[in-house]
Amino acid sequence: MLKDLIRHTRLAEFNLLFLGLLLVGMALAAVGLFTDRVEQSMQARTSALLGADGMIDSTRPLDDAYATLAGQFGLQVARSVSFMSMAITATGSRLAGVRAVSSNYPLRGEVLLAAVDGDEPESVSVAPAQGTVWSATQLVIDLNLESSPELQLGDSFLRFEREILLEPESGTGMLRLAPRLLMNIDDLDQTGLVTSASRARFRLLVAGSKESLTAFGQAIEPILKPYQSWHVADLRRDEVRNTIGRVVSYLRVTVLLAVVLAIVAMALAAQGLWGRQIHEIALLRCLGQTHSQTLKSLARVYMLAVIPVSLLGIGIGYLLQHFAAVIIQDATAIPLPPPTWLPVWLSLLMCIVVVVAVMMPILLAVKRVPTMTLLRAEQIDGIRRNRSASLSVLALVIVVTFFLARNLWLAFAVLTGLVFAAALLWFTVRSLIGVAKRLVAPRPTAWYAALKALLSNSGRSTWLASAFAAIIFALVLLGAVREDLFEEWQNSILPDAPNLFLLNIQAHETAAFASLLNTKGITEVKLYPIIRGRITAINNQKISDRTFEDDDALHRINHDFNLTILAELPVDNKIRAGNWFKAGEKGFSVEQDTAKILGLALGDRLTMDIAGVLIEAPVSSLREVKWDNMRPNFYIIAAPGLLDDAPRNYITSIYVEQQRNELVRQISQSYPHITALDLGMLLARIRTLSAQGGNAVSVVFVFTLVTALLVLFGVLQGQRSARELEIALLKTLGAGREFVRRAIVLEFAFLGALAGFIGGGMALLSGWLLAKYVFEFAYSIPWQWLVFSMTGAVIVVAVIGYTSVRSLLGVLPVRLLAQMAMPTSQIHPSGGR
Amino acid sequence: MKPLKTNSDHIVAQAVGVGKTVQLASDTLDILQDISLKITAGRTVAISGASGSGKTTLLGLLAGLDQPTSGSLTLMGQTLNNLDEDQRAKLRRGRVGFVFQSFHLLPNLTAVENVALALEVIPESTAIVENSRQALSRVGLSERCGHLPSQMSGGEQQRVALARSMVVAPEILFADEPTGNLDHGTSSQIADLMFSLCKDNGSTLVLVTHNRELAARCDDQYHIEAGRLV
Repeated sequence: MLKDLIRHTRLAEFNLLFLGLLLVGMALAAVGLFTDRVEQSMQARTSALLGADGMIDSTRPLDDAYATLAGQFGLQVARSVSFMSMAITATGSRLAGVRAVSSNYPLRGEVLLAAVDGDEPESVSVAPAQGTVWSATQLVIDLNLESSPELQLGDSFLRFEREILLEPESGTGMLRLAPRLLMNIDDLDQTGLVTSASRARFRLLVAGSKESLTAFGQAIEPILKPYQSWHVADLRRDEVRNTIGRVVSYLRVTVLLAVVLAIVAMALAAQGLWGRQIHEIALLRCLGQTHSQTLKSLARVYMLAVIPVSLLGIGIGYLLQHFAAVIIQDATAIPLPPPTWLPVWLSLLMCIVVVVAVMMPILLAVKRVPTMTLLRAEQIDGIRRNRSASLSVLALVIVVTFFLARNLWLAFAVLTGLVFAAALLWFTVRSLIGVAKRLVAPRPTAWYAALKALLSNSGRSTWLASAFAAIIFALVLLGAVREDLFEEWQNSILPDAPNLFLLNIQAHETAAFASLLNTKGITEVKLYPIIRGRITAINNQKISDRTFEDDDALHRINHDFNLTILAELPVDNKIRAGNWFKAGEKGFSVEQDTAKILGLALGDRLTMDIAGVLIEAPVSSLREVKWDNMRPNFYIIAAPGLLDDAPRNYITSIYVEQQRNELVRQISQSYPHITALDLGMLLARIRTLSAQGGNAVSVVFVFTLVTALLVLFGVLQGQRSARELEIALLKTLGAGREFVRRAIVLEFAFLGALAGFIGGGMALLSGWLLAKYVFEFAYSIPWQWLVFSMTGAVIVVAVIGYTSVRSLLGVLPVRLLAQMAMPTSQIHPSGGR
Repeated sequence: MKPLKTNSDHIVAQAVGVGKTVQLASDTLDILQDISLKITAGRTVAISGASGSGKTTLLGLLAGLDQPTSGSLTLMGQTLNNLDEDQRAKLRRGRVGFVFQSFHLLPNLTAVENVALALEVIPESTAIVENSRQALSRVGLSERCGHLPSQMSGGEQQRVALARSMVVAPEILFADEPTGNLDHGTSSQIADLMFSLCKDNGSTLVLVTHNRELAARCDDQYHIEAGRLV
């Protein structure tokens, strides 16, 4: 068996087939393992935003029974109590958003603490020690905590220890009115600040398996009091998650391209292998081998190679994702948990599926090989082309697309794109060759010989041009478009994204506050009114009379919404139904997911309780909101004029490039009630992340390039014997070696120009499509790359093409003709009957 | 090595009223019509005729590589008409040898590996490599065992093909234009070798050729014209 395998490894097509499989295993494992880790990390991160997987939120102290019940469901439990209080130091006092937490807080995620003595920022998942507090930057600045760390909170004195940069539930939670002060819950009683009648939020945080969490949620639902609510994390508002999600789906699509190309290379190799094995099978039948013996021996050889090659590919894929993860962890401090085994098994299974799909139709055709093939060459033609192999490969591409894209729409879009790109490539090459055919008149020059070779073998030329174009496509996308794309993407979301949110600005001070910002060079200050309101009725039916199954819906109707009033549709919002407010129109614009959860449709009449006054208006539009744009976003927007008399305060978000702390200090002094929320750290993380995403995509493009080269090698290998005959004929007819050499170089140069034009053009078009629909920013196409790609392709393709056939030039015509008669070719000089 | 088979009365291959017709797009073509012949063990038989006369088709039918449209065929005592393809393959195994005009050596196998193929399909084969080397030695290629076909001349390749066919000491050897791709000098050497090996093994030789000189060296000669024996 091993002997047969060794014999097969002497066939270039066999090696090409398994090199393709190696790449498939590598690509599938690398992307599978990497995304598995990212998904695990994202799940943890979602919980980290809440500090837990779920929580009970209450305005009164929570009964211990909940914690006991959670324990019975196998959930971990932590507690937090949040309230507002004055923090007093020797230098002054400031309203603080105090959160007292149990020592195992947070259950999920970490608290990011500022560097001490120039070290790196430190992530911890414990509470401050008893007797100490950690404080948000704004308080550190306002109260000068670094030089006077003693802090009075109610009746107790605590010592400031560390500065908080990020903490669970920070994000863009815009309604936190005061900077955070984190303390140990065991110090809470001593402060005397919280009693059962205090205005505070009492939370029971829980963490555990998804099943336990769901079961716990269902168990407590009937016993929750009206002032208590059950929460799970809201995924959509996590900017980092969305950024990573985008990079991961982009990676998947790019890997998909590489895998599809590898499958094409494998299919080409399998076809070539079949062409060779027809003779072998026929010969063995002549010598007395039965069908089942032939099938068994071939199947054994393939099975013997499939598992080790797939495992080797998966092993290399594992190493690749490991290095990628190390780089990303180092650069972003986002921990990636070790991968599970599932992607390894799935990759192995897919490798086997790929080989079976590529080889099975061919193995099944073994029975159709006529033994007379050895006596009659023409009998081969009927079985050489294997239509069921093409269908099988097509089905395989569809399966792989769905496997990798994991999203019906994305898979459909990619498949359509692939079919369209392949058809466009094929059609363009055929058309250009067709046009050239009409224009070229016979001349006794190498130029004409080259063109004639190109045009008279239009099938071969199309394959070659397509393979070269795929390589140029990958190179241009890798070299030019990717860099531009990621740079522009980063520019589009990051540098001017607001890094400071200012909350609780009072209506009477908006003008003065805006002038203060103007003096600091911040001229465009967009102030959003914030009006709190609760939905009381939909289409005049009281909300209490309606039943909501969904936890999310219950949460939303039991809480106040933060409404705003806007005359213009905010940036990054898209109207998905209805129309934006016309002048004088009264209505509400509702975020589409909220509308779906609450069962709201366009035209429904919404009644809202705004500070005791009932306001009724129709839902005039449904909006899609881009939650990760780092700007204030709203579930419900009211039309101008609808809520004119409602009490309000304002928020704004600004970008401050330098001396952010200085500005925060000034605002605190002049407007002590205004809360500044610094998102600089979060933005820095996103910036690093998108840069690393760009690097990851580069690696994947290298995959694509390698697989495209594999396709090219397959095509070049397949055309060798035909080219031998052409050269032999040219030489027999009197063409000199130099003439033949020049004709070949020119033929490949023409092919290069064609491939450069098509591949380069498609890369630029893809860049534009990616920018417009995936990354959503305006992208100026670098047309000069079309010229570069054509020039480069002419040189590279001429060199590669010439190198691939150079060894055939020195052979004498007689020898070539003798070779033509060998069994591997289809030519039999005197076909007897 | 099998004992020499010298029973001159034994019929190894027989055709009775054999015809072969192929269906074309709008017509049928009679390649062979009413062919009847007997081939006796140990004889050398030539089937000659012009290109397109049907001689290669007859060889394929006699060897059980193809099925006739009419008539009956017998090979080594077995009626081929009743056997399916696998049964015919089993009948050929170790008892029938082939030499082709285009040699049909596998390009990825060395000379010795090509020869060994014929033994490898026989489950009870032993000492495969030694026997293959010995066969190559008998055709004068003991020094070329490890060479690939692309490293050998046409004559050498055909000698490897001869070694492959004779390594099993077949009862009958079918040769289709064995010298068709070779120059005159090499052709004579290959023909000498083939006749001598058949004689040594006691194998029957059925030779398809349009080379009159080669046909004249055989004990019996059949001539085909337009699908009929004349």
